[in-house]
Amino acid sequence: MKRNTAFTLVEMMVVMAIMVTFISASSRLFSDGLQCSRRSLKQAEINQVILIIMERWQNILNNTSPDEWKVINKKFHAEKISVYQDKRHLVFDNAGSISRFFLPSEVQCSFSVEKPSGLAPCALLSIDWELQRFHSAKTNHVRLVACEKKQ
Amino acid sequence: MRNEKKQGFALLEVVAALGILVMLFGFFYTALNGMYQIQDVYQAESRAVILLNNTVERCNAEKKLSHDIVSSIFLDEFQKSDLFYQEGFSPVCKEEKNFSILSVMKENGKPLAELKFKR
Repeated sequence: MKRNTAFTLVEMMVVMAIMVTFISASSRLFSDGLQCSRRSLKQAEINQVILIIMERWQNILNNTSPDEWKVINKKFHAEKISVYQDKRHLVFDNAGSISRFFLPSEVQCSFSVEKPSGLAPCALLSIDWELQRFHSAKTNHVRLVACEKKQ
Repeated sequence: MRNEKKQGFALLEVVAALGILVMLFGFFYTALNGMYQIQDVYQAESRAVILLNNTVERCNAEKKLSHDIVSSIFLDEFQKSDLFYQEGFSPVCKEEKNFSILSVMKENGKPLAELKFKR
């Protein structure tokens, strides 16, 4: 028996259902792959920035006295040195000599001074940022400590 | 004899095509998951290196340094780092003559990062 039309309604609906499933799964896979790539790039950028900042943070505070360390209005002060976040830059002001480090987006810096009992005090630079993973955000945290260099 | 042209696909062909599609999706999804796992390992390694760096920085500020002090600083830094909240990582501190060996161990017993620190 010869068919008049190529597909019946049921066949068309089955084909459409398969196509919709296929397209939604493809787009989901594509967006996850894109997100994974973006996450990797951002992570690599942040890791690189952290290493540079860590070296600068420790070098600049090694020759200062912990008695002079204080945090006022989210700015860290040590003798003539001050360190603070200015929007997307971390600024190191060493008696007027200013160096600015570019921070990736959504990175937040905060400062504090830790005085653990029986141990040397240390200046703490906390770096926080969020990364997306499977459509949920995960907060990341890194602490960078700097201490007075023992003479 | 009339040569009739075949219309559409046979059920077996459609099932085979769907099977290949499912296999491809499975393959790409596994690869994507693997990428996420590699990212996690790389992230944990960089955290462990920063943790060891913080420990050395704090140890260098101490006037008298014993294995107990190195060990307490290392454990304190570990508890304050992100690695403490992730499953499968543990801090190990061993004493060896004038050295303290600090390691962040993985679940399989292999070190994620290790440092031999001279006191």
